[in-house]
Amino acid sequence: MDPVPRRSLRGLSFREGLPVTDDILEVRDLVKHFPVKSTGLPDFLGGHRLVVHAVDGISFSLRRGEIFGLVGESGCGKTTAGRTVLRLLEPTAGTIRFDGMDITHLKEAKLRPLRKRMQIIFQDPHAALNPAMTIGQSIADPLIIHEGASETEAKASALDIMNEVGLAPAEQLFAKYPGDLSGGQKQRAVIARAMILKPELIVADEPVAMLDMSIRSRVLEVILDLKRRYGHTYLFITHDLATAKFICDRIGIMYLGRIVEIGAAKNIYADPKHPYTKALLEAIPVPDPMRRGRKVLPQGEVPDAVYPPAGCRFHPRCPAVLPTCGWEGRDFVEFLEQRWISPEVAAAESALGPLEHWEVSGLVARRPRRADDPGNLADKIRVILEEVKSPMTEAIDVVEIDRNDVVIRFRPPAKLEPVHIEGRIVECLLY
Amino acid sequence: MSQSVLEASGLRVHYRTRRGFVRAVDGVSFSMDESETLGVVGETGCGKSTLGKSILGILPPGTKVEGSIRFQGKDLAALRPEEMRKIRGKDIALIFQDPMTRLDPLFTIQDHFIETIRAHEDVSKGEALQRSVKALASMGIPESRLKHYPHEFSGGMRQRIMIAMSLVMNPKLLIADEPTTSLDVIVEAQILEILEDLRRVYKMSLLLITHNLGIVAEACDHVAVMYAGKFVEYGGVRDVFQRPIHPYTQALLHSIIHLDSKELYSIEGLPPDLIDPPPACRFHPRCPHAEEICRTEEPQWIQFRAGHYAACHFGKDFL
Repeated sequence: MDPVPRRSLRGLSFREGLPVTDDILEVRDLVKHFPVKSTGLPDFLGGHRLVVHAVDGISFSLRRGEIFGLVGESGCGKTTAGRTVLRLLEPTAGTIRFDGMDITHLKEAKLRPLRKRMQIIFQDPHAALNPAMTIGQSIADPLIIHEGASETEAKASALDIMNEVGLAPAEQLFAKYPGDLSGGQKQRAVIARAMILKPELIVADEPVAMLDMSIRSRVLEVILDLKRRYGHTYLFITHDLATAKFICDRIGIMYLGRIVEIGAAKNIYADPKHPYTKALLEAIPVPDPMRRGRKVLPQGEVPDAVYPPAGCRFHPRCPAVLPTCGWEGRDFVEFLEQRWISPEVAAAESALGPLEHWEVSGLVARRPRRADDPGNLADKIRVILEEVKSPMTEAIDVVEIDRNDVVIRFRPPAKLEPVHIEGRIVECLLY
Repeated sequence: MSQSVLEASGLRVHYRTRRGFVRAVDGVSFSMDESETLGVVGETGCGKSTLGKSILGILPPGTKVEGSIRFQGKDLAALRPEEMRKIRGKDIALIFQDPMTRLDPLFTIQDHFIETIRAHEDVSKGEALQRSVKALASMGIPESRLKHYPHEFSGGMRQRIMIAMSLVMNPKLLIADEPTTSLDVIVEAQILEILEDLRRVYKMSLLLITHNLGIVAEACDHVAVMYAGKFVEYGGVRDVFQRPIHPYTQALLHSIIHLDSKELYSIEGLPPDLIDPPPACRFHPRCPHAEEICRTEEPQWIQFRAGHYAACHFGKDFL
């Protein structure tokens, strides 16, 4: 009788009769907030704590044996997401299921045996290895910790895995310290250490970002080769869309704590739907001087995750933005600031300023009236808004004088829901 | 009379270390015209940043520098430190990779500008301020933010401030050392467009040092490929990208992972130790085409096509 491989047994549902799920990781509405500082006042005096909305409600699942890419710019929350699903960070809300088990709040003692089934490869190989341990010790250590292996057994396994990741001659490198190795070799050691327990799920957090172009490919090849042989599942975190395209089966594009587009890599690259995905693809420098051209780029930069924009978080920068995308009071003040970069315009419209006198709160921007205000200040603002007509100005409901303030009031945004379209899920009002 | 803004010949920069001299730049010659963008591309440790620093004369004391660097006809090496100081920051400006460490956290943006301008020109604070406002406005930064400190700006804004500050003196040559490496891809594209516009408007020459071949393809007229302290290839961007001559250039171009990549490719081996580099052609231990002559004889710097140079014994085989 043929022995049944252990791995395929794990793929079965643990309860007979239920439909077999092939998802090794299932993340639902995951939230991770980091407290930063309080506003200074205690809660009962109207103070409130501020948090970084690092991950703000994301859902995705990893099918066994696939490489799923979480792609986005720095600060989008991809690293936080990767660490939270491994419970290296405590989730604020949502659920994480690993191989069918809810591990969201599992106690450390119960989590421990699962830890060896999920491992992480860090971005910076220079920082991920203990400088006081030899390469061999670092790689063998997980076996001693998790499986109680003897030194000799651990060493034999470590030498095997070192050969597999191309750390050769393994015997010689075993006794070396991280300082003796090149960046590429160190990253192979980090990979070997993650692989030695034969994990099922590996979170690879920018595994090649710190390496020179000429050796990136070699490290990626090691990862692909091991995956082909052992059928690992990867959560591959990267800012590099080109690498993600090459290596991932499916990808999720993250922006400011949210996944804006998720689906099969080939669908998304062939025809990106979300304006942010389009912008990212457009911005990549193409190594072909014949394809040079002016790019359509989004305005500005990623906003502060302590105060994420209302509605779609990309709306203030979006080239395809609609009046219903989430405009609010601060967008009006931002508009004035940009407008007044031109000193002539700033002088001509000085009656509206100065900028510091505008206060914003949600959908409203207001400025206390002054004695020297022209009587028709609200009209003046309306004239400007009429003149510059944009999705932002169209989202303004009223400009009015409310007792002692000049008030700009926006209409509330349309509700943003994930939409299934052409083999992916997009969160955008265009669809 | 030559039109060159910058002309380096036989440039060598050797750092003194306990283990011996590190030959970071080892015999490099090139010239740059007015409003030209030259990209210097290479991997970590190839000497490209040292090249930029040697032009500005900001190498650590004790560094051995040989050869000549002529800027608008003047030999920079022959200048006294105070004469060099007058040129540095005024005629030749520099922007660095990490804008945060180059702005003083205790000074407002306004202070930075006034100090820079008044270090080179005898103008009133008011006038310096006016020029700062204009320079910042051209980078999309409003006057209302002049009194802010560096930490109050995002990474992209800081880099735009650095650019505004280096341009306020109207330099003839701007050296940008990995100006976008710490930035995200969208902001990187924004900054590259700004640099391109400036170069056109101010007729400024730009020396762009980068490891990113995509950036070179998008932003440069000419490109020099540097390996282990030497230029291995130089030419127009189209020539070098479409018809590379040196095997290192070919391999480097092949190893880029881009959106159309169909396979992974990497260069065997590691870049050499610059204290004791390989003899003759420095790329020979990693070169798939290397033969005996590559180990024994230093390849000549040969013009293989009009304006397209390379240092390879077998260059004509790759034409």
